[in-house]
Amino acid sequence: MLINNFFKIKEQKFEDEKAIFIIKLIENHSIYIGHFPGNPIVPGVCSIEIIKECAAYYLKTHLKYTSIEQCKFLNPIDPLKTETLIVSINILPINENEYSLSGTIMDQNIPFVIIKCKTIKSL
Amino acid sequence: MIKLPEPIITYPAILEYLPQRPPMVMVDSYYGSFNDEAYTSLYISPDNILLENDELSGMGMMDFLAQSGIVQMGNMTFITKFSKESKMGVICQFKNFKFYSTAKMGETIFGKVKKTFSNATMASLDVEAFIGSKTLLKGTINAMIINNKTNAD
Repeated sequence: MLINNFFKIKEQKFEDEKAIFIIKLIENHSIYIGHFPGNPIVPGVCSIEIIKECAAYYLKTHLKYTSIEQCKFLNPIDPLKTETLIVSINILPINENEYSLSGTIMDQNIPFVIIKCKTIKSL
Repeated sequence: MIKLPEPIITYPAILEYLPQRPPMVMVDSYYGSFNDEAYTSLYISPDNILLENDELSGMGMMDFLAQSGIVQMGNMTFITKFSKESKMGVICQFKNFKFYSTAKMGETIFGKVKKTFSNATMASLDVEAFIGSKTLLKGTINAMIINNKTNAD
């Protein structure tokens, strides 16, 4: 889990099936020791995980991915330069346990990640 | 399923082919390329930073495949090694990924990488993580080479 460890939720807003989070990255996380030495960049897979964990937070459950139709990394996220990020997720139930997610991570001006995927509740 | 020989590159020599450094190194062996398919592996150690409930997390498996792709595109790191203008291979897209199963701490997972397109600046790779005949995760990765300063070397 990356929530409260790699990032923290500062604000949240829910509108129907859309969840918007303002998050803060924890810049001294040990992941950055190796990604990359002297040049910290949020690993792409951690951005994907942030979107899933924010969706799970909204749904008050745990989720795991079943598929990622598409995930584009548009710009690298430097945790030293980017204090807060905006995570926006459209959450569409497929059935009782499965959800389709369309999400973005950006700051005020720059888009970083766009994803379309499916998740399922996990224990 | 192909019977793999002994790996031709192992840790720490594999670091020559990756910009990542511990604790974010998610591939530890490279077996070479056979019939256009390259193979890698990762032993899931108890101190793997992407473990979750004693399993390699989904992001751990995705990063294993991403780094397997970067190792296969090893010419990128030759550019890093010999050029003052540092360059790095970066993943720009995951596409059509399907998650089938997971791998536990103590297991070794294998990666298969098939280059379906490449030129001087980017490549498209079909990738699959597996143990024996069991597929764990498969999909397509698009990667490109960018200018980037790093102290990895």
